[in-house]
Formats: sequence, C-alpha cells, structure tokens
Amino acid sequence: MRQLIIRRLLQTIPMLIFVSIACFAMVKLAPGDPVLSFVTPNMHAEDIERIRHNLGLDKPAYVQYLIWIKEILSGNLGYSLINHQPVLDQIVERLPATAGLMGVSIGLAFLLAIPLGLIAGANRNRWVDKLINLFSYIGISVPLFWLAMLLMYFFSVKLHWLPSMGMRTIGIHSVFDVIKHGILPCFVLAFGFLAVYVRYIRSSTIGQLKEDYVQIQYAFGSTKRTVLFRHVLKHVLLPVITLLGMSLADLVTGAIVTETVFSWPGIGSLGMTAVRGMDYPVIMGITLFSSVMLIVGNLVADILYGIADPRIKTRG
Amino acid sequence: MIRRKSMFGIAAVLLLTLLVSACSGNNAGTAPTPGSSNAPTNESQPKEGGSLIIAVGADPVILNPNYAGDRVSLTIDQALYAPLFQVNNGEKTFYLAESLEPSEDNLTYTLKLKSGLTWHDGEKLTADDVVFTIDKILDEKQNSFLRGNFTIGGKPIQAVKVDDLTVEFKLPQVSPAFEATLVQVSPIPKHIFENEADLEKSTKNKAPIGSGAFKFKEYKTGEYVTLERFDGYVGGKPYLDSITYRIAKDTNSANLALQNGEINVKYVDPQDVGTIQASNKFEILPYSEGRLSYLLFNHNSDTGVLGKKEVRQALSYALNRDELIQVAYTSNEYADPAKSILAPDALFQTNDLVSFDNDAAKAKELLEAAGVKGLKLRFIVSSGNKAQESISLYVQQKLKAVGVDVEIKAMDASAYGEKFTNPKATDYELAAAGYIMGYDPDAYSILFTSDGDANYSHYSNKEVDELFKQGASEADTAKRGDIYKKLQEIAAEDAPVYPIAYTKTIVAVDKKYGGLEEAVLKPVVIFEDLSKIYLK
Amino acid sequence: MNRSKWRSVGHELFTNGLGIAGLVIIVVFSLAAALAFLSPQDPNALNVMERLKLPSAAHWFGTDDYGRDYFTRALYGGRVSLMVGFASMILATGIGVVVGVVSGYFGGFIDNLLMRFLEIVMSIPSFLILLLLSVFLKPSVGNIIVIISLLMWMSIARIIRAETMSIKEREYVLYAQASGQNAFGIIGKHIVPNLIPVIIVGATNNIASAIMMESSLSFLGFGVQAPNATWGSMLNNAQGYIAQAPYLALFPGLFILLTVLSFNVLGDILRVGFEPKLIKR
Repeated sequence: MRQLIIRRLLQTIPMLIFVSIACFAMVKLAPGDPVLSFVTPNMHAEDIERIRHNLGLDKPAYVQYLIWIKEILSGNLGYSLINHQPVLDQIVERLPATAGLMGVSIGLAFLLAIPLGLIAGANRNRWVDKLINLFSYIGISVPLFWLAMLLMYFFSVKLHWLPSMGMRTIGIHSVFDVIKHGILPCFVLAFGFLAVYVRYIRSSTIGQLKEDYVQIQYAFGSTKRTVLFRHVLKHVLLPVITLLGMSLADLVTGAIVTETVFSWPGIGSLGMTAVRGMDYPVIMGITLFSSVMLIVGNLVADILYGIADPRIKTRG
Repeated sequence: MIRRKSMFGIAAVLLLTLLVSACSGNNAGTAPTPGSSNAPTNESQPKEGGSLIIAVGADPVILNPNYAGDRVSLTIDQALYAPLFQVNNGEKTFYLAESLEPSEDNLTYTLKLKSGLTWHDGEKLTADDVVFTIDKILDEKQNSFLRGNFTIGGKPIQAVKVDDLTVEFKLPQVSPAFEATLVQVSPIPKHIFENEADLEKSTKNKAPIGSGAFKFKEYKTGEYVTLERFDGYVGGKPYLDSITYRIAKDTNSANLALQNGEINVKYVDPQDVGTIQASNKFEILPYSEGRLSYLLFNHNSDTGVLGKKEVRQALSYALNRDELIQVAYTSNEYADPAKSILAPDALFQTNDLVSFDNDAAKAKELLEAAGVKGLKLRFIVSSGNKAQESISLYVQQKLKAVGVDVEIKAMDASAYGEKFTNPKATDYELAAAGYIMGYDPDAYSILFTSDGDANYSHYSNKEVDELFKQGASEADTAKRGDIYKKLQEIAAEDAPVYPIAYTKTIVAVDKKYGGLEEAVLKPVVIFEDLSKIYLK
Repeated sequence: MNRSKWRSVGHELFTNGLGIAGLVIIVVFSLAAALAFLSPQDPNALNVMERLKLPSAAHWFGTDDYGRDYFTRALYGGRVSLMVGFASMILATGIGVVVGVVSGYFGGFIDNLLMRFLEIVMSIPSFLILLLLSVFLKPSVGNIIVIISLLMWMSIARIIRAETMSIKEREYVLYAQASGQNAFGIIGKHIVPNLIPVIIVGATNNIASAIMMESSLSFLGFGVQAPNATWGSMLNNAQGYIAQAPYLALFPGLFILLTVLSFNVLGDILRVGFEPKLIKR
C-alpha cells in the first residue's frame, strides 16, 4: 500500500512541473507586453528597458520560468494587472464562496444519487428505472445556464421568493440569508452532478447484481432491500470514491457559468472577470491552482481506491 | 491592465476621455440642468439613520482620486473624498474650499479652505494636503493621468502654500478652463501618503482615508464596498448611517435585485424603464451627463477613404438619425438627436447646424462623385456592449442599401479600447463611441485638433486647430462664444464624426429615499453629495 | 465488424422509443438548419417597429429586441451550433483515434510520452482555457471548432488506446505481424476496422459535448460574432429580456436540450447495440 502511495506521489511531481510549464508558456505566448502596464506616456526608451531589466523580462525564458517557480513556491502568485492586488489573496478570498457552493451541491447530489441509482439498477427496465433514466438523461443534456435562467424567471421574477444575485443581502449577516441566496445556484449544480452520479451508480449496480455474492446472500434468505443497501452499496461506493476525488477540481472552476448567471462571488466569477480584462496573472493563478487541485484529487481518489480495493495495487 | 494602462496613458487628459470607451454602453442625456429634472418634491421630514445600496457595474480599480479613471472608482471616491468645489450650471458649490478668486491678470488663482477641516482619521486637513496632492499629480513618476490638465503649453501650473488655509495657483498663461480642471481634484491626505514611493500601488489605497461624507468600512471583492457616516463632514453630518456599493456585473440579475429591494439605486437602460416603472416603487430620474454618442470615422485607416469629406458626408446621408436612435436607445425619450460635436451642457453649444441625414439617393450621388465604388468598411465593436452592437447592426444594414459593405469586427473590451485609442491603428474605419467632456468647450480640443491626444478620428483642419487655440486664451465671453460657434459650424460641414444623440442617463431610486434634489444628480458619479439623502 | 452486429444496433435503435425520437429530432433539426435559406425572412434584418413581438402566425417564435424574426434566427443559429458540433466531433475523433491507435499499438516509449501528455492536458481546467483561447484568437466558427476539438480528443484517445491494445493481442493480428506485414498495413487492415464501433459511440458522445461547449461559450458572449447567432448567443441576449419576453429564452434552450439529449441517447443505444460488454467501460 505504502509503495502505491509513494509511486503515485512521485508520478505527480513531473505532472506538476509540466502543468506549470504549460501555464507559463500560455501567458508568455499571449498577446501584449507586460512592461506596458508600467509605462507612462512620457517615459524614454531607456527607462522602459530599465523596467524590463528590473522585472527580469530581458532574461531567457527558462530563467524567467525558474524565477516564477521560485516565487510561487514562496507563496507569491504575482499581482493582478488591473487592481495590483496579490493574486493569491484574491483566490483565497473567493475560495470559500465557491468551495461552499460546490461542496454542498456535490454532497447533495451524492446523497440523492445513491438511493436513486440503486433503485434504478435493481429495477432495471421497469418504470421506476425508465423514469430515473429519463431524468438523468435530461440532467446531462440540459444546458445548466438555461436551467438557471428558467429557475430565476420563476422564483425571482414571477414569484419573488428567492433573490436573483449575489451571496448575501447587504447589511444582513446571517447563515440563513446565505442559504437563501444559495438555493438556486446549488440546485442547478446539484442537478447536473446528480445525473452523472446516478448513471454511474445505476450501471455499477446492474453489474454488481450479477455477482456471485448477491446470489449467495439471496440463498441465505436476505431480502432484496438488505442485499441492495447493505452489500451492493458497499461495492458500488468504491468507484464512486473516484468520482468524488475528481470532483475536487470542480470545487475551484466547476461553476464558471453558474456563478456568472447568479453573480455568485466565487472563483468562477473571478476567472470570468480576469478573462474579460485579460488579467493574465489572475488567469494563470486560477489555472495553476485548479490544476493542482485536479492532480491532487486524482491522487487522493487513486489512493482511496487502493486502500478500499487491494486488487488495484498492480495498476500502474 | 496591460492594454488598459496604455490606453489611459494616451487618453490621459480628462477622466472623460476614458469614458469614451468605458461607458459607451451607458446612456446619457440632455436635460441640461442636472438635478432639475423630475427629482421629487418632498414634504416629509428627513430622518437620521438607515442605509442606501447603490449598484455599480464592476469592482473599483483604485480608491484614490488621483488615479480613479473608471466610472466605479469615481463614483465611490465621490463619497469618500470631498472635492474642493463643484460646478453646476456655471454656479460653484463650495465643499472643502471657501472661495476661489482669480487675480486681475487671470494668472494667479487664490484658493481659501474652510477652517476646522479634518480627515476621516481625525487629522487636520490643511493647505499642505492640497499642495501635496497637486505636486503628486504633477510628479511624472506618479503617473497620475490628471497631469495633462495641470500643464498648459507644456508648462506646469504651480501650487504654493501661503498659510494653513490658503493656496495660490500660478498659471503659465491665461486659461479660462482652469476652474474646470480644479473641479476634478479631491485632495488626498499628505500624512498618509507622504512616505509612499508609488502612490498608485500603495497598500494605503486598500483602506482609504478621505474627507468625504462617508468613510471607508469594508470592501469584499466581487461583492460590495461599504462606507459609513463621517460626522465631521464639511457639508454637515450625513443623514444615512451607511452607503453600500453593490458590485452587480450582470445587468439582468441586478434589475431583478432592484425590484426585489436588494438594491436601492441603479442605472437603468431605456428598454428596462417600463418594467421598473411598472412596479411603482421607484423614482425614474433621467439626467444629462453631457454625453455625445457618435459614430467615429477613422480618417487614418489604411484605405484612406474616410479622409475625404464627401465620403463622410455620403455615409451620413445614408443613415437616418431618428431610426438609429430608435434602434440604439428604444425611443428618443432618453436621447436627443445630435448635430453639434459639443454636448448641450458645454458653453456656447448650438444644435442649429447643417446635417447630412436620411437621403440615400444623395449618398449614392456623392459616393459616385467621389469615385468610390464597392466600398468595404470595417466596424469595430466591444463585444457584449449592447449599444455599440445595435449601432453597428443598423449602420451595416443602411450602408448596404447604398452599396457599402460593412464588416463588423467584435473584440473584447480591452482590445477594443487599445485599438480605439491607438493613434497608429489603421485597420478599421468605423466605431461607435461616446464622450463626456464637461462644460468648457476647450476640453473638446483634445478630440478635434490635429495633434489632440484623443483625436481618435484623426480629423485635421487647420482652421479648427486655430479656433481652438484662440478660444482657449480668449477672456472675453462674447468673443469666445463667436469662436466656438464658428468652430461648430465648420465641424458640422466637415462631418469628422457622425453625431448620433445626446443621451440621457437614467437612474432609478427607491421611493423611500428623500433629499435627491439636494444631493444633485451628477454625471458619472450619480450623486454629487450623498450626505443629503435620507430615509423618508 | 460483421453484419449481425449492425443488425443488433438497428434492433436496439428501432425498438427503443427514445432512440427513434432522438433520431427523428436530429434528422429534423439538421434538415431545418440545412434548409434555413427557404425561410422568407432575413435572419439579420432589423425592424424597429416589430420589436419584441409575441409568437404569432407571421413570426412563429416572435421577434427579438431588434425586430428580427426569431424562428429564422433559430434556424440559422441551429446551423452554426450543429456545424460546430459535427466538425469538432470529426476533428476531435480524428486526433483521438490517431493518438489512441499509435499509443496502443506501438506501446513503450511513444505510449508513455503520449499518455503523459494526455494527462497534462486533462489536468488543466478546460473551460477556463476554452474561454482564454477564444479571447486570444479571432472569434470565428473555424477557430471555435479547433479550440473545442483540442479540448475534447482525450477521452476518445484513451478508449481507443485500450481497445487497440486488446485487438493487438488477437491471433490474426499476431499472425499478420509474424508474416512480416508492415505496422501501418496492419493498423489499416486489422485494427481500425475493429475500432469502428468504439469510434462511432465516442463520436456521438463528442457531438453532444461539443454542442454543449459551444453554447456555453456563446452564452458567455464569446464565440460566433454578431449579427450571426447560435442558440447559445441567442440565450445570452434573451437573458436581458427575461422579464419582458421570456419566450426568447424558451426556444433556443429547448433546442439545445433536445439536440444534446438526442445525441446522448443515441450514443448509449449504439454502445449497447454494438458490444454489450462495452457497457461496463
């Protein structure tokens, strides 16, 4: 087991290096000269060259990359070109909003998906299954921003029940208020995740029901419900762990569109603003941050999977 | 800000200039008297306490009046930093200043401050702060884009402290526009910024100390900026306890939030007025920002074809101003047809001018006479900007009818800003834009003189250059008026741009607030003095 | 690929109500998009007097905020949406098949290299990159197709690689190798024909996700430029009129949903039909 973890950790290091190179290259290749943001109209050419020198932009690209990495390792992701604030601060400030929204949505979707997936799988091709199946087809096919618009139309425009934007009412600091603002975006996101999870759990339930241990349990006189929720569930949960691990990356950038529609002040909105304003350091910061989350998420998922199912050890 | 900065740099002359590209999406307008429009008369007694939530379209870039160039920063700074004085309809309202007197020869202005002024942190506000502020604006290293205004003919205006409450401004030459320059200045505290090497990047801007009616309390990026009452305000203790600027990037959901009472003050687009009004919960206040919305002809484009006056006239003939206003601004209720390059709030403005409008036959004739055939034009728009999009679609359709092909090139806002303000950009012919230049016509010189900093259309007419030069240094009002009248006539004939409309800005304010008239609706910043607003 | 497999696909397709519905929807939408020019209305003609009219006999889906016929715009919008979907599918599947086959067949160093590269691409958040690239590059249909394809080939490459590796071990391939046929001949003659079911299934799912990506992109205001529309950009515009004219939001969204749904359903049916064992993938 330990070997597996160590091997996966070691594999992660080159991945991280390559992802950082990709991020760096992306910004290097982007149009625009970063020196210009320090230049005033009255500056002489030599002043501009001096700035370029001070910023290290006259050095070869690989030296610039090493300097950049050194800064990142010491916690400096650079400064926004628009408001000159540290990028890391901005990400950290927005993180709770996104993580909270995504965490609740994924958690909710997961809890609902287990019974729905199990029931659908156990009643394959009966009406319950067909209903759940249709519903999950819609879930993976509906444009979430459209769903968001429709919900906003009904609950904010027509009924005035729920707020249409932001995370809180100005002047009110209560958890209840945040929840009220979170209902619609959370529902939208959970709906999307739910469909994916249900399909996954359904098909692995169908697979598991064919296994010998199920027949043995029946032979011992277990009821269908016991078999399903005690024994099959245990086996079905295994692959789902992988899904959850992968969702870790979604915690950061999974909600760009939904956050934009509901003006939710999270990383997604930050990313959108940065893209519109061509704020490269912020874009680079977010990209790097979520790439790291994704790699770590996969790592965690693999390790969990390995712990839960020792047979997997041999996998490279 | 790679692009944006360079754009500010070039445009540097008036805050107005950046509004050229920054807010051509907004609608501004005519009632030439700010605040005189339909602000409610109100009998109920002002109450103390309560809060006000104002919607703003983006995060503020920098809460320091020496650098604020975007609409949101300017709006918030208006409450945070008291100005020296303001001018409405030619009348001065004094805030920090008690008086401003020019000398006999108009080369020295003496500014007296009110006594007992303090900053939000309790420190005294004196002449030292004013001089410090001007010095920092003039300091090239500090990169304040107000700098251009404080140099006349390449020489700086000097600010000298006489005593704690008196500052003398020494001008290198007579400048009737000096007062308009000083209006834009709100002093920044010397004791805070004294030891900062770079004011723009200073961390002190994160928790600004000002002298305005409200002091800084909290800023959550992407969410809100909250200010709270400053009891020592020069204009008297404000009624409201706090002001919150709610950052609402999505107009659609912000409109819903307005109707749900989560926002109390918001700009509204003409097409949304009906919906907002229907709820009967809001005062709809249209007011002029002195903004001209126009179609830009790039005389410098690589095809060079728009350098010809006849072609520009022909293109103007092909369009129908009233229709264009309908398409872009829903109705002419909030946009008055424009003929002059000066906005109605500018001194000496006249709209009684020749105009080339709505005559397709004439357009074809002129094009033929100019020997132009199979003309192809490129129209740049900032993507997502509704007004620009409408104008470009309309122009495309109308010009097609006279045999001119228009290709619409959408680009992101910063790329658009860069291209628009780049004097060397030759790969487009048309753009839709707007400008707000203030009340002194001299300000317009940067837009229309041959070597003007913001002459984005690259219009060049020696006569116009000369008239602007005369106007800038003419102290006699009647003579000055004649100069600018003549100038407008020439510009109308030359058609350097196609003026579309003087657009009105529409603000919706929740009916539960009073004192709107006293607070004075103001271009760009919405209200001049928020301390006067109260909860009914 | 034998005939019975096709028959089983046909059987799955035509006995499944959803499958028939999906097929019909795709055929109808494709035809409507292809024949959009038959509409008497100009999709881009402004008409100020006819602004925001409710659906009627003259304007089946009403008119938008510029008085343009919404039905005609939806037809032309569908044309772009479907075209982006199909073209990205072809490009992405092409890349995926090449990478997958090369990686799976040759194995060793090349395999290792390609798979590490694939992992790196997969660990960069794709939607953010999609936005960024569409800002960098000039927004045009061609560019959007390329960008979407570059972010979509990975999953199909993985499946193809796994499948190639298993086909490679079959006796006829081993025999061909032993008899000295060259590698590309073997790939062309023995491997690729056997990959066709997997390719078709992957391609069908790819169309669905390409259409979805394009709509999200256009919805955020990137993507195809005015005056042309796609379903996504129509929704972007409809957002501003949701209180006054909710029907503007209804139609394009419904079309995206139906199209993507149909492709997803078909993808699943094809998978079951072709190779029941693929279900467990």
